[in-house]
Amino acid sequence: MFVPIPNEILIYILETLSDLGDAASLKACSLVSSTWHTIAATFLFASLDLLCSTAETNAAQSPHRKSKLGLVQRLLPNKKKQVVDDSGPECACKRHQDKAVQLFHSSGASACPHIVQNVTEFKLVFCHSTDWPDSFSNGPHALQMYPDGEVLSLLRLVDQLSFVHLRRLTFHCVPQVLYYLNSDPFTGLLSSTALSLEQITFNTGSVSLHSHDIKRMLSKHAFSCDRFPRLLRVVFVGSGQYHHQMCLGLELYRCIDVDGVPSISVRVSHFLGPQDLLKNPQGFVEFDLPQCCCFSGTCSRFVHRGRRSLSDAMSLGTGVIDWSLPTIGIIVRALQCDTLGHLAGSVTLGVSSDVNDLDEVEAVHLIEYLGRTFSQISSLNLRFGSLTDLWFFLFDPSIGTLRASLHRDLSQRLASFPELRFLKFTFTGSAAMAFTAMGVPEGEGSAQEIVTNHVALLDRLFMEVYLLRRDMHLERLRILFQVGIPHGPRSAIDPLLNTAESLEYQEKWLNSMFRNTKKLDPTFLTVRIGPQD
Amino acid sequence: MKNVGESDQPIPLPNVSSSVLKKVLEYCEHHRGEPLPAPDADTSQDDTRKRTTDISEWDQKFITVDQEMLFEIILAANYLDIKSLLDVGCKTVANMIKGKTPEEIRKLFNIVNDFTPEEEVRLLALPHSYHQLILSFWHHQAQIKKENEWAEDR
Repeated sequence: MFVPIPNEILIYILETLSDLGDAASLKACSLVSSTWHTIAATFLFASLDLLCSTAETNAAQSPHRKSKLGLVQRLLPNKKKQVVDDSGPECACKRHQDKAVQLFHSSGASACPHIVQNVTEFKLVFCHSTDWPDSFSNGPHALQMYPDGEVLSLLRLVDQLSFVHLRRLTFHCVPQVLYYLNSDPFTGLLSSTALSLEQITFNTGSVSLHSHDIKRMLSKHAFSCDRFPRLLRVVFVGSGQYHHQMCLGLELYRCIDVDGVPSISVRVSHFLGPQDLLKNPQGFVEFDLPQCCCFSGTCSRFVHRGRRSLSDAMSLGTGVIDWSLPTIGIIVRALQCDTLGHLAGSVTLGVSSDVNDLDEVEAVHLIEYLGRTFSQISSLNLRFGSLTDLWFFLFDPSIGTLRASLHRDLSQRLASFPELRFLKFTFTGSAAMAFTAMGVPEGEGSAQEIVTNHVALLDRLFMEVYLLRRDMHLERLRILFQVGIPHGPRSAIDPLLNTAESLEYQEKWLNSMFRNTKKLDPTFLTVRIGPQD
Repeated sequence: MKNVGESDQPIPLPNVSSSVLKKVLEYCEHHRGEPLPAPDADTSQDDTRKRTTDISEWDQKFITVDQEMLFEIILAANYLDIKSLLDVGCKTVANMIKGKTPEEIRKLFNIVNDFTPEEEVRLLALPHSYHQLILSFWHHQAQIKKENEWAEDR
């Protein structure tokens, strides 16, 4: 009996053929019927990366590389692993051997609706070389101050929203692209309404970014919810030369709560290593701006309620976001948060041991800065992924003995937030494992001893914060000590460790450890162990 | 069911018929105790797993069913999020398609060729045909990804 293949599984079949590298079968599938053709096009061009580079040779005039087509049979459209060794026109630095943007135009693909209309993820890659003189090494040499005609045409395609189903747009290595997009000849990126766009990412490579460029970029292109109803993220990412593979990200989120009320969150994060910076940062600062609705532009929905855009609230600023020296303190300051900070309702700080600046400004000074900048916050959440991070946060190296080593200014700083109602200490990762006795932290001594020492320091800190707040006659504060049960192989191996009885026992044990704080006010501190967010 | 708690309440599966569910349960019963692919499994391992059309002998025998049942099993595997069964089903169909011409695929699945003659000419005969474009772009996509990987490795 014949039954048509449902469309939803045809996608899986094409994906399987793609995973097998069977280009010939994919090609045959695309010729079966108009439905199959459309689905194949959707699948093949959903994610499109184009390299923008310069070369002496015009790709349109270069001989067709028939010999390469055999190799192409093995290539996968959406997978990273399949590569070929090829030689074609080279860009100026000789690192890139391709002219995809130029070919995109010369082959007519830019005029093909099946290609252009099916692109949902689009990445423009600008070559960047450090092997060239200043004029090249300061930016993508493909562009200089203005792009060549074909790159310009491509930017116009983006500008005119020919990619009608585009969801994610990425500019890779783009400091000069940013300058270009901000300059007058360019009428504005995405100059009309983009119903589908959800995220724009600017990867600036290792080149520093002036903070006022962010404001200009936002202001010029009017990313309002009227024009971009689905745009929820604008991301700036940079990688530093300060340390191998140190990366830093600035994310602007548009959040909408369950009642449909919008707000903007700003998040600065850094990561040392090859992992995903944005998903698993080592350290981060995040604050919310409940009074802001859109990234920029005029918002007709919320203007009558006194809401404004992020770019309106931002200072023009003179700071430089120097990706080469990526520390949270520098970035937060470079953003000129003093103009945004008083609007923030809450701040979350992901503390890491390398949160300190190079000039040895300690974490406690970052708290002081946050206290000055975010003077109106009602909630401060300090998040620790390891006991080492907690140790660096609490520890004052100038004091010799372990028990007395709590940084003397820390309690003062934490107590000084005038509007603070909730102070949270959240533990994830190995810190959570240590507190739930599921893991053994690094360092000398037994796990129990290390945990006990840390809790003793925290007990003293909480006690001091309580007394200082009372003496300063500030609003009542509550502290939440929250341990997130990690989703990891250990808990999977031994589910008994996560039973309700076990967690209750751990909670009781931790509560008993904070005896000084509890003695002052049993309701001041809440200890909670629960699933990790 | 594990982690659902004890309940006499039926769990509705409106998209899965009883005969298909029986087959799915047979598959799950046979593969009970086998390690599940981790959701965040290393991509390279995942790719290695995927880049083969090999299907075990038992799975081959299990999936030797008529087309209607095959598609329904794939849909059920997708709906119930049974990745290994989805994989087996898709590989089976991919193996059926492999090496065939568009006309042979049409015959296999009883599909009508609804391209207009003009579209056929455009798709098949143009010097810069759509397929050449596709192939060219695969090539260029891979070049860029290669470059990205190279940069990441550095």
